[in-house]
Amino acid sequence: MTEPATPPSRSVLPLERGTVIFWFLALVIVLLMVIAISLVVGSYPVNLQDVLAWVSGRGDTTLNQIMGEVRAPRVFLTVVVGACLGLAGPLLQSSFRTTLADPYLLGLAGFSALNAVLLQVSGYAGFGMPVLGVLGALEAAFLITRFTQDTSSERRALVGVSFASISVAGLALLLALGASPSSANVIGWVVGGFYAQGTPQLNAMLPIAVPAIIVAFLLGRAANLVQLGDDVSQNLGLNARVARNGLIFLAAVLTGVAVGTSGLLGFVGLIAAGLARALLGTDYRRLIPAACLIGAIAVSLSDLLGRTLLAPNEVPAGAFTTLVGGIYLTFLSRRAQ
Amino acid sequence: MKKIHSIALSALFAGLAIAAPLTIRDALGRSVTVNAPVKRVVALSLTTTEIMIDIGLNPIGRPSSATHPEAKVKSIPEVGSAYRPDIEKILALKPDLMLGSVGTTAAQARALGALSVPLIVTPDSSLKDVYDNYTLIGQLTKQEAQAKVALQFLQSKIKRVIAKVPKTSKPKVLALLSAGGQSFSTTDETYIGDLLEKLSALNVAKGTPSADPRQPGFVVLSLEQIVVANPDVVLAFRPRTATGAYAPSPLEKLETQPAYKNLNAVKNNRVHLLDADPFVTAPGPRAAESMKVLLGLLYPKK
Repeated sequence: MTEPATPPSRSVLPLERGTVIFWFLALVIVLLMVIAISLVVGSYPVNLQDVLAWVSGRGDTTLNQIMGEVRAPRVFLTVVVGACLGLAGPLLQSSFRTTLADPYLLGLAGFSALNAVLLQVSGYAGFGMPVLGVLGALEAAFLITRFTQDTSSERRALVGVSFASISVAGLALLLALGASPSSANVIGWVVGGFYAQGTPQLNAMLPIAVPAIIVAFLLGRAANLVQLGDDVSQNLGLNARVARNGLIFLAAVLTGVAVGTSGLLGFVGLIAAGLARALLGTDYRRLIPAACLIGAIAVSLSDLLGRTLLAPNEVPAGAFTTLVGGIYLTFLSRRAQ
Repeated sequence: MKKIHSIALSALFAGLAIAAPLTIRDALGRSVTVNAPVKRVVALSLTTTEIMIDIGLNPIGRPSSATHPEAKVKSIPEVGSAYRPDIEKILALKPDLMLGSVGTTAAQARALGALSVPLIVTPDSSLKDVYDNYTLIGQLTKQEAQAKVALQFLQSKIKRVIAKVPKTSKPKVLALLSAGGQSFSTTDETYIGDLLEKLSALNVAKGTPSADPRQPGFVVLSLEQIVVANPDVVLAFRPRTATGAYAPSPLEKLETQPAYKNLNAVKNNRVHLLDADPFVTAPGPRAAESMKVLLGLLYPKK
């Protein structure tokens, strides 16, 4: 866990250009396929022709309403939320120098949800939930970096884990205080999902999410250096602490904007970074965009499964990501020993 | 003055059969404009489903949990749970209005309100709210006369039940509802609480503030508070889950407590387990029948 995240076999042989392009193409195709299936499947029957008719503006009113107001915005939202959470994974793994770092595990996501609920209850909902979520995640990021200056990365991770527990306890407290038949709303934060979400949520999150995603894409080289530890990266010409904290804060923004929108979707960052590393090696210039794609696939696929498996009832997407991610984490911890 | 105003208005509209924009301020304070008369209404709550049918109007969609009146309701397409309706199904019915009620629709009002079909959320926490629903639905569909007839019929039935309330004793009552694994007491700010109030019962939860401003009237009384209040009658309402099975009884945890067994209601065998539908979850035309049943439980014949 203390080692830089580097499976030995990968670091010896750099991946060939062709392999890299192949995996990126494969990920893009999988994402497009999930999006296409998500657009076709739903309680209102739609076939591919209808989708094309809607895209080209030849659909009837009902089709336009269902695709334009309900299904497409929701699918797009799952992709953006997934991209944000996926990106947060490698950014945190670089700055904490462990493959076990994840916005959910480190409490960024939990604080984000807690903050969003707290401020919403206190009447600040007008700022938009993504903004409230970002504030919460930044709080957690600030506290983690503040409490753990000059300590080892595993200590930093441990503080994060305790933050995650604190935020769950805080949400439980809010749940108890707001005891009423509508307390299910708080549960909706703990296990996040996309029921009845779409255009308003996109409008609220995109102004923050898009710049954050773009910046994340530019930080591959910095992440590569930060991962080597403060001493080494300092010698290589990086202001180590600024770069490390910068990565953490960017991860917090990405996490907060996603959690503020959909609630907690556990382990997306961990799954995305882990799978990206298995496919493409340890270079963050590749890991970051790959994790972005995998995060988008994971969340949009979870939502697709969630709204089709038990239709007309919905399983929130967060249930799937947390389940799959939890199993993966168990597997990862075993291997790390 | 107000009456003259409305007479003038109705005289004005009598000549205009064409659709006219009508702006309503709904129970959530939202300002909604619809083209009256609305023709294709998806009812999102039991209240709006039942009141529409009672007026003689057929909603084009209804929540899956709406089961009354059985013969009529069966032929109306379902749009999923009242709490989480299936938005795609709603839009597929091509409605020109979605009509929900606070109790079930409020949580999703923002999401549903973002659609291009107008959403009106009606009040549902008292008998007066039920009456207001008749008037509102009459206005929206331009069936004011029919709505008024149905409303007056309901009011006369209720009046007859209230006339039977004995003047002598006022039983202390505790009305419980189970929701999400918890047991909630209902105050006079809920529909069931209002029915009990109208039947002159003393609600032991009356005046208890709710922890959640979005659900005023549903409060948590501790066992200690219940023991101190010592109700003469306990009414336990069980809702059904999404699958149609009964949710756990709100008495499940209370029943095992020794202190509970010493309550007057328990000692005198006056604890009644009832279906939450219609008493709690379906404010509407069945109010008179509900009150008749409650009257029998509150004032048993000796």
